[in-house]
Parts: sequence; C-alpha cells; structure tokens
Amino acid sequence: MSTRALRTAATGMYAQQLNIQVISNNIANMNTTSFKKSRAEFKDLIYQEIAANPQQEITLGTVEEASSKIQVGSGVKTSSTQKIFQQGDLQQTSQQLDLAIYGEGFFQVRKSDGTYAYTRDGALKISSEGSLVTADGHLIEPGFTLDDQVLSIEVSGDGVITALEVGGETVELGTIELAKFVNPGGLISLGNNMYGESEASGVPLLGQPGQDGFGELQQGYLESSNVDIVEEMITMISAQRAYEINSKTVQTVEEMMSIANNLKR
Amino acid sequence: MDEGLENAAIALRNKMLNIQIVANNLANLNTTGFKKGLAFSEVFDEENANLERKLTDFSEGVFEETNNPLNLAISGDAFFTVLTPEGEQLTRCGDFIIDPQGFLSTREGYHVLGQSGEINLQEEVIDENGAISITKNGILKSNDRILEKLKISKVNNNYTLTKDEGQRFYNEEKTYDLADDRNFEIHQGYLESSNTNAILEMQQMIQLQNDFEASYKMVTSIDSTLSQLKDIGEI
Repeated sequence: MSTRALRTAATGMYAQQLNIQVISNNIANMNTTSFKKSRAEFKDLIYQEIAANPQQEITLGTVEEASSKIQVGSGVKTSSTQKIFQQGDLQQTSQQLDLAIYGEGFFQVRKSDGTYAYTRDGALKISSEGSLVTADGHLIEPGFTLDDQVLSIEVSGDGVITALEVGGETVELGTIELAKFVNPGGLISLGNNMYGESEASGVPLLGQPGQDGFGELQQGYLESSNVDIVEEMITMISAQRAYEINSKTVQTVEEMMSIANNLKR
Repeated sequence: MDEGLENAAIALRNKMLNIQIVANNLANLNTTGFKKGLAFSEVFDEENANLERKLTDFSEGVFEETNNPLNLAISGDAFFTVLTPEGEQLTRCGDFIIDPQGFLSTREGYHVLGQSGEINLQEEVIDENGAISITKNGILKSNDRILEKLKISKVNNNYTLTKDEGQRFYNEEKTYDLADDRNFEIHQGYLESSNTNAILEMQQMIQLQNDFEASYKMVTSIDSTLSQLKDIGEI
C-alpha cells in the first residue's frame, strides 16, 4: 500500500517536469514575434475508497457504512497545455509590410499542402509573383497581387489596402480578412508562429478587422511575444519547489517503509 | 493478539494511509480546481462513528487570470454541473472548451450543463460572429443576446460529496440544488488554483513521520515486554 504514495509522488514529479518544459519553451521564445505563451493544465487521478477503521467488525451480508471509508487519491496527470492569447506589446518597425493585430484575430494563411493555418505574425513579404506572403512564404488568404506599377501600399485599421502607383494614382487592392476562434486556447501550435484549427478551438470565423470584435491592423508595427519574464521565473520557481516537495514525499515514504521493515527484529 | 500491539499496528497503517492523502495533495499543487483531502485521525471509535467526517477541504483556491473566455472561476460555495456517463457531477474546474459538435464541455469531453440542458454554441457563433461573454450570474451572452444560464449547483453539506478524477465530485443521488444567484459570482477569464498549501502539507508530513516512528517504538517496546514476560515464565 505504501508504494501508492511513492507512485503518487512520482506522478507529481513527472507533471512538474512537463511544466518546466512548457516554461522553458516560453522563455526561449521571449523575443519571437507574436509568440503566445503556454501553460500546463493538470487533472487529478482516480480515487480509491479504503475503510478508515479496520478495527470495526464487518458483519457478512451488511452494507458497509459509507462514512467509515476514506478516499485516497492516486496523483496527477498533465491534461493539456493551453495557449494564452494575451495581447503582446506593439513594436514600431516602420516597415510598410509589417502588420500587427491589435485585438483578437489571426491572419489566415494557406500552407503549401493546401490546408489553412493561422498566424498573428504580420512580418509580411511580397513573393516573386507579387502575392502577399508570410516570412516563411505562405500565402495570405484572401489575398491579392501587386503589380510592378505599385510604389507603396497603405493598410488601414480595418484592413483595406490601397496602393500608390507610378504616376501618383491610388488604387484600392482589397481587404485583409482576419479569422477568429471561440476558444483560441484550443488551437494547435504548428511551429513557425502558426496555429492549426482543432476540435477544441472550434471553426474559424472570418471577418473584417476592427469590426464584430475583430482586432485592428496597425501598419508599421509588429506584435512582440507576450512572455513576461518575471512571471515565467516565478512559475519556474514554483514548479521547481513543487518538484522538490514531491521528492520529499518519496523520501519520507521511503524512510517510513524502512522503519516498517525494522518492525521484525 | 495483544491489544496494545494491535493498536500500534493500526496506527502504523493509518499514518501510511494519511501519507498517501498528503502525497496526493502535494502532487496536485498546480491542479486547477483541486480540493485537498484531509488526513483522518485513527480514533474513530464506536461513539464517534456517526460524526460528520470532513474528508475534503472545500476552501477556495486563489484565482489566476488566463484571459481565455472559456475559462471560468466561481467565487462562493457553488459548483459547475457537468454530464458524465455516471450522471450529473460537480466541479470547480472551469477550464472549458467547445467540443467538435459545438457543445460547451470539459477537457475530458463531458458536457457542461445549462439550466435547460447541454449548451450548444456552434450555431450561435457562426450566425453572430461574436465571442461568448458570461456574466457574474452565469448567463451566457453572444452579442448581448442571452443564450442560456449555466447550471450552478450547490450542496447543503459539501462533506456528503465523493471525489472523482478530473476534479469532479458527486453525491449518491446525482441531483443537486440550484445555487442562489446571491451566493456566487462567475469570473470569466480566470481559473481557480489548487487549494493545497505546500507548507501545511509539509508540516503534516513531518508530523505523520514522527507519529509513525512513535508507533514503531511502541511496537518494539511491547515486543520486548512480551519477550521478557516469556522469560519470567521460563524461570
């Protein structure tokens, strides 16, 4: 029976180890554009009912009194990691193709395999075909193409793109749409600052920036990582302490077991 | 068997069981909505057998801001109600998601109950293009249109509740009263942390270990007394 306490403590240590991995990834990405920090979520494991007082005589054929039982739990598991989509600070870059989303929403990009992904990293480029792409070359959708007549572009807060062409003419090229999720915390991280739709996130809703709760676009800015180093350090300290405390449980139980072993001389 | 020896043996067993409760509390130091188990005393004799036994500490954990609209915390003595295959169960862990069918559910996939049943948010969201907001009273709104009110339950005596995995609780009947609006407040974008206090648990662990050693000393001293008695008989 005492091995259960050891296993319980081991689950606690394992959970904290995962917690440290999540924290270290947050810290490693503290300068990654539009990075969103994660936090680990834990769930307790099953409980077993044990008679608290074995002295009580049990009469055959009677139901044991519920109040004479206690519940002993068997530890913890990591159920999921949750992304926290808190707004990151906006940093001025003065690049006309740097767009930051202030508020909710994601740029919708089409990956090379044809599926959609979502990103808040607005460090955009113009591809050789004149399309608007992310830094990794993924197409922004709904997109548009720029021809060689365009001198500069301007993006308004509500996503409307106007181009200044050679000869001083301004042409409206289109609107950048944003995607929103009911539970963005449920999105899957795909790496390269991109997220994928999942069962937990719900389906994407497309809309115009600045309307219906969608964030506004800020041209010439990039969103920095929302990792707060002080907060991460505090979480790391508390995770480390929790790990140590669980190891103390292992030590205590081990000592008790060795005492029990000495009962028989 | 000698009664003193038997008592000491029971004390040893109970200290070991209590250590398991403490171990579980400490393992769940960072588990959202976790309610710590209380160590029990071994002096449950016949007269005290019917005393109300407090096995779980339902005190409130600290609220942590997460900014996720589907993270909810309840302040006050009340619970969220979820539907599991075993019937309705209660939880204080408000870490919810929208499942593939559009139902508001827990991470394990159990549907969260509103006052008129399970809550499907799929169509609302697609139609209205809006996010979900939840008032202090647990009313779900999409663009200021009221959709449903969460079924926030209370139990007259929390100590009648049995713990289940995933920070859930249930009573035998699996039916619960609705909590009065004045007695709770829902906080959207927050989660309730575990109510385990590491220092108190460590203190308890030291105490248990000392008691365990004391019971051990009792066993060895009774043992040596008994063997001396045997020696007397041999004279």
